[in-house]
Amino acid sequence: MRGEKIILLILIGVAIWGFKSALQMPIGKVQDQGPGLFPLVLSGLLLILCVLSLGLKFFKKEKQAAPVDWGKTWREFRIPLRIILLTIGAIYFWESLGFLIICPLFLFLMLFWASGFQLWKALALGLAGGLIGWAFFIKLLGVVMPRGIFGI
Amino acid sequence: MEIFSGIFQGFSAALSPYNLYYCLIGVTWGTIVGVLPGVGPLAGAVLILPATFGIQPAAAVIMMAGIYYGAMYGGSTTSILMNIPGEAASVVTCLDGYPMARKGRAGAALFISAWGSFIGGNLSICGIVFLAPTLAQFALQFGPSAMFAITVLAMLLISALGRGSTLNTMCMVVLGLFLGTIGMDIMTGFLRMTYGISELADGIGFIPVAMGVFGVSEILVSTQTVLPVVIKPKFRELVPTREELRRSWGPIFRGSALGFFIGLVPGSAHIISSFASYALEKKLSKHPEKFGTGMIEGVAGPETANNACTGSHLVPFLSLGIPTSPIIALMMMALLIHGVTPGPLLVTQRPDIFWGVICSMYIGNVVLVILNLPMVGLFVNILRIPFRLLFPMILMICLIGIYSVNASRVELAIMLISGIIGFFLRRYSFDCAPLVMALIIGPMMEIYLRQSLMMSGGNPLFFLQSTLATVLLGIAVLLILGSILLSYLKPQAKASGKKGI
Repeated sequence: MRGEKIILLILIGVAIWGFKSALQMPIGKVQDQGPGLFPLVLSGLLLILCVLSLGLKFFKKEKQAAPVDWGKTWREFRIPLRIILLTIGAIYFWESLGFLIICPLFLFLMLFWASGFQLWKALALGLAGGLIGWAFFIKLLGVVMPRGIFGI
Repeated sequence: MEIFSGIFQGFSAALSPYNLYYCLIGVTWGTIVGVLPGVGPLAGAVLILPATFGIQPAAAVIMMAGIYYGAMYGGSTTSILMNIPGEAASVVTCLDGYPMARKGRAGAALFISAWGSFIGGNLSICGIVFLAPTLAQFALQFGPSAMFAITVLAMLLISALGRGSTLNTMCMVVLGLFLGTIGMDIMTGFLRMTYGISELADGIGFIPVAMGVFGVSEILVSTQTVLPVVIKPKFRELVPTREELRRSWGPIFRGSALGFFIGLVPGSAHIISSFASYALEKKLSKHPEKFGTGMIEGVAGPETANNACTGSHLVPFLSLGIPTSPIIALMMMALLIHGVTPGPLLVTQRPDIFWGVICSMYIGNVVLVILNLPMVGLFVNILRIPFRLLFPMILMICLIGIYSVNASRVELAIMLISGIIGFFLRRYSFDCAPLVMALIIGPMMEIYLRQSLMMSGGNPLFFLQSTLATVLLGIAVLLILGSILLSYLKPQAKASGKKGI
């Protein structure tokens, strides 16, 4: 329930941002709408719905929320966080390093750091995966992938 | 007569070696993604999307449709063998399918599930053969006011029938509609909320968002669950007893009818039809107390309803060009990429695609029955691959798939951001499918609204001048009032101690 309220608060923030952005665009008239009218209406509607939902949750009688167990939370989010960080790295270096380097490197780091495989297993699987990926997507399907600074 | 000549044309197209080959790829891949927990039918379809660029549009949609109903077949396998639904609509199958497996009747459960799906799927296709072209002809008379009313009704149905709280689902729908406004305004060319990012001029892409919300978030969620042991049935145990077959016929035919009609409604029709079928069978049973302990009716009905839904769910898409679920929206994308616009004119302008897709579903259903039963051993072995080995490869394929569409790192970033957002939304019981659906329907809704108001000179009563628009908007209002009333009555029903399924 706590998480739900936080999400609703974030959505309220999004709605306010949208409302402000829409006001900066031409609104036009009803019969000749400007680009800002539809986003304005939608952001207003989103704001109303989120405030209503949040209000109902505050009025609803519920059990006292348990105190946050930060250790348990960290254990739950540890692997997803690693996946996210590695994916951010892959996206950042995608074009500069090129597919042939990023693919086995990404697989190796994922298998080792996120999946918990042993170093040599992760290395072998990463290299094998990279090679299969290159053969299947680039050579067989002809998908165009970046070559990177090394031009491979 | 036109329908029969269309069917003949459709079978000619569907039975061509070219289209047959892609149908086979689609149903096989669909079954595999349905079996694998962590990869849903939408993620599976997006992964194979790059492969559709170089093939004919009819084959592309046939392959996507194959993934769609193949995943419905495959989803029941994990429900029965592992008590984990392969996809959301197979949740109900766990209730009696897994207890059957624990009693040594896994093979019978799988057989009845496949057989019921086959019959439900085929009866549903018979329905769309007559309904879709008729509706398409009727839809040619629709003006922008009627089309606007249809999109409003679609959005409200998705809100009302979504999972979780109606108010939260409506927030997701409106958020999706709002995000759909980002990009270039089609009517004025004005760039809305792009902040100088040129890739956003075409709007936030549906494919990266769908991939993120359904693919990446699924991976993030699945890393937090521990998968149980798989029960492996022997091949000779696949044949059900006469008694089991006799008890299955009623649920199969009832499930077919229920699934077909529920499938006409946009939104989570698969989930609703399977739950509705389970509830119906329990109500009609002489031994309702035995449901949950391994009743064959609890498998036959829901699985049939789930697959019967698949055919009718395509009707609004084929006849009106309105996608009723994210995967159908992806099929729409696949057609748009090939320069084919789905809608009422599809049946006259591209009958090869229209009838080809429908007829390929007959063929696909036959292939699935042949595939699912003898190959259950293979699927069990796939299930044994540790998820920690699979997910890095799935993630890599997601990145390759998204990059191959527009060669854009911004879209990779959108996919990841959508995945993170989807992870938290799902964790805190927000339904993400309505958000994705609204993203694609929103721009259509805006265009129809603006056209209607321009034609009427700004007079909102213009919508009431069209009988169809009036009826549809009236239904929409009743739906809102009904949802409010239901949310008021539900707490009172709980207080008086009434039980559901």
